[in-house]
Amino acid sequence: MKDKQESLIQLKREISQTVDYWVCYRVGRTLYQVSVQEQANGQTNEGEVTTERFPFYFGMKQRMRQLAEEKEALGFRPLTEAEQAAHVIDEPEEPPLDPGFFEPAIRLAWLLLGLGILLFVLPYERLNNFAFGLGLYVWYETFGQVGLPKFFRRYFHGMFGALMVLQVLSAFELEREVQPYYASLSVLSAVMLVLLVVQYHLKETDQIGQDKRVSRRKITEYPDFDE
Amino acid sequence: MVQLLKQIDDEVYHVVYHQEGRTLFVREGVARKEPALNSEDMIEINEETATVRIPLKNTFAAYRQKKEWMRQKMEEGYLKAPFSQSEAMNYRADRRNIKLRLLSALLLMLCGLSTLTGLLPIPGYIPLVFLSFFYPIYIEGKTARARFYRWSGGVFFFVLAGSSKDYLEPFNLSANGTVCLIAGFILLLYTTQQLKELTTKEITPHEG
Repeated sequence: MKDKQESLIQLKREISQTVDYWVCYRVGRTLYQVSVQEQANGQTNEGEVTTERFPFYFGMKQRMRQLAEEKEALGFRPLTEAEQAAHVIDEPEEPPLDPGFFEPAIRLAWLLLGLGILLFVLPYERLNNFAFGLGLYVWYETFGQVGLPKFFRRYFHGMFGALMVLQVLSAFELEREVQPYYASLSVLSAVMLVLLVVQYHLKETDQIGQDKRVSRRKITEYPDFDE
Repeated sequence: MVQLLKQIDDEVYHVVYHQEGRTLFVREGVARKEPALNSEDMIEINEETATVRIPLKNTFAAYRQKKEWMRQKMEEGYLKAPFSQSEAMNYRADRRNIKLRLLSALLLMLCGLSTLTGLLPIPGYIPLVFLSFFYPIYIEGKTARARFYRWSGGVFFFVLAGSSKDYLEPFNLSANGTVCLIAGFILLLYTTQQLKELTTKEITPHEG
């Protein structure tokens, strides 16, 4: 939330009949500046979009603040709450994860776990390549999923990278040393695949039973056996 | 989940506090008796407010806040009640138990991983004790799933017990680690199953 607010600055200036807007935002490592002029007759002129590319994320916020200060020196002021609310466009909601993916995900998780245990227990180096292949397949499957949470997407990309590194190492005849890493990676990926399912259900069950409710129950009177 | 009750004439007031980490859930309600329409039966009506969710600064602050509220309510004449009036809060408590089971499964898998990699070999009797608390051998029913849980649990106990002595022998280490990993994974799958059941479990008013 804080990050989102930080990543967008909107300023406004009114000179007689025209209103100037200046908007600065960042996407990834690119900083965008847009200025829009709105005239009294309703006509708008969009100025050029200025982009600045940064090699790293460092210094972007500072640069944005600096630009905003420069603009404020020219008479711009930040938007008020009401103005901000008026211009907000509803973001299209990201589609949720497809529950049909869960069954194949759990099947893949079993495969990964089994392979991981075999890698720990058996000394065959051929298994490394099986783990590599299965890992690639899992990465491909998760890559195609719409609405995968960001954390999981990052994890599976990381797994892909780690598999690549391990494969390169085994090209330098380090297969034996690399084997436990392959094994741990497959077990971890199996756990992550199941956690994907768990997280979906946890989120789904979070909101139930929160609202006001009235329940009615007939009181059944049991006969008294003492009499 | 803590529940406090106070009875005034025919009405029973209840307050339920439930803590999840640093979040407190509070729910209040009244239960009263009324004669039903068109018959001589009595009907119990349980009215509850919406649950209020209060995030506090940390877990300890939440715990202290809960205790404070409980103290205030006790001074007003409420008493602690062992039986539960609020199904909505029961639902949350179930969900919390499932979360704890999930954590235990992850811990078990971590045990297995550390044993198999040899970073920290863990003797079999530790997961044996640990498993006997968490493994779902108590579930009823004759479904394939229930049977599988019971039988695999029994086998795992034997393997863990067998690999406890001389646990640093390579064979025992790998047997122990394998069992930990598989048992942890089955526990994980069991939690997903339980969560799914919780999703489909409807909180419906009692009929008749």
